[in-house]
Amino acid sequence: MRNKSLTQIFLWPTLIAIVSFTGLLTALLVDDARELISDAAVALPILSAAYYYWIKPGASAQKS
Amino acid sequence: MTQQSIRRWAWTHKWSSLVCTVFMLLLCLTGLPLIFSHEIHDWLGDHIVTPDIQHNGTMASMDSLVATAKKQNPGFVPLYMYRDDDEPLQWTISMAKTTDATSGFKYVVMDARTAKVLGEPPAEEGFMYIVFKLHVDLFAGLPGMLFLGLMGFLLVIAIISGVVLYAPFMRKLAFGEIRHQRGEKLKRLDIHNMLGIVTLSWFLVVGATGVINAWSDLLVKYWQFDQMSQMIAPYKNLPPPTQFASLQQSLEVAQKAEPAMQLGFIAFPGTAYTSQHHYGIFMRGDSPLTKRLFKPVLIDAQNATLTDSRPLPWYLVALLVSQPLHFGDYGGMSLKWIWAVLDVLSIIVLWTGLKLWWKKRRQYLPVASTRPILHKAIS
Repeated sequence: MRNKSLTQIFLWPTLIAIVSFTGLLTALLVDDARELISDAAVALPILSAAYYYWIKPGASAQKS
Repeated sequence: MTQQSIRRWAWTHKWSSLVCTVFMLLLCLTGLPLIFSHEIHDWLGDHIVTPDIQHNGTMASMDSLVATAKKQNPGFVPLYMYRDDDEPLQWTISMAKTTDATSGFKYVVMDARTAKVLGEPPAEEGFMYIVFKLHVDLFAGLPGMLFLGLMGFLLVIAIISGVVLYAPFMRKLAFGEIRHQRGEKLKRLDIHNMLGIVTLSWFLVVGATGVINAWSDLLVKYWQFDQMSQMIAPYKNLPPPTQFASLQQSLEVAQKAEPAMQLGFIAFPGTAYTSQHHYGIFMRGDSPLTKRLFKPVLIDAQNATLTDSRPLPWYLVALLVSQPLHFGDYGGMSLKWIWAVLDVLSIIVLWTGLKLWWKKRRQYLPVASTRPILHKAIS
């Protein structure tokens, strides 16, 4: 792989950080069904970690 | 980034983490049961249930509740009166031998309708108490709290330096890539980097709000010095009252002063949240955010008249808003589970970080030619 630029390196981390942080704050402000959305935002780090640890390696191994 | 600045950031990351890691592991491990402390108390049978009775709807007077608590524990004085969100028909009065006691507390749980004692949950004992004390102050009081606050500050530095170092390590790797087949060392490094970067926001928020919480006792002391002293200035040289006015009447005066708010908790004269001369009636709002923001209404405890009421200063607002963000208790059960999983992920980040350092440290010793991981990443 060629050297990645800083933007490429930090694109996904920044997005995940912003979404999960927004989720943390909105969960503080809402108390109804919208809570599901904020919970999902807070859970995004868990989902992405699970994806990259278990699902992605299997998928790319099958491809090659 | 130049080689030299990378080396500086690596040094910062290594030492800020190394110093705090053991304590952070302890905080993450003790924090895990604390997320579910409510559920665990229920499960341990500490929870006191409200009896199902025929009742016409009028609540017992605050004065009879206080009288009942005093009768239950002769020689004890009331400190605070509060209730659980989940048990609106209960009032709890905490008591001790003196208003400035730091241990020897009793908690009298009463029926808000009948002023009957429902029970006294165990105080200062049991598994959850030990876990709580280890998490908050290591059984060392204020110095322990401040020490853990300092460790939390180092954690924040470790997280920030970790983010800076993320760049040189990821130059040739796709986001989230874990090199499963390239040996334990690289796999561990990739897991550390991936988990560290995705949990960044959460770990930073929980770490930073934990640091703010470590200052809570001092913030309250400062508030007393800063605002309380102004509010109670006219009482400065008066002797403490010997006769106390009706608490029920005082509460009604406070309610009239803040008609749009509802009672949060009451601080009895002499405790840290009020003066020797006042009932500190803390009113709160009703929305998810404002129900955490209290407004103190000071009522003269001798004649039940309003002395002063002013909104909390910014630093106590910051403290009160930061608390739920640390505890994770502001959503439903699902948020608690998310909190728990993120906590476990943080433990993995700490553990893999510690192990990376440990293995590298051994590697340095015998063969000088063995290149440390960092060089591999930046070459």
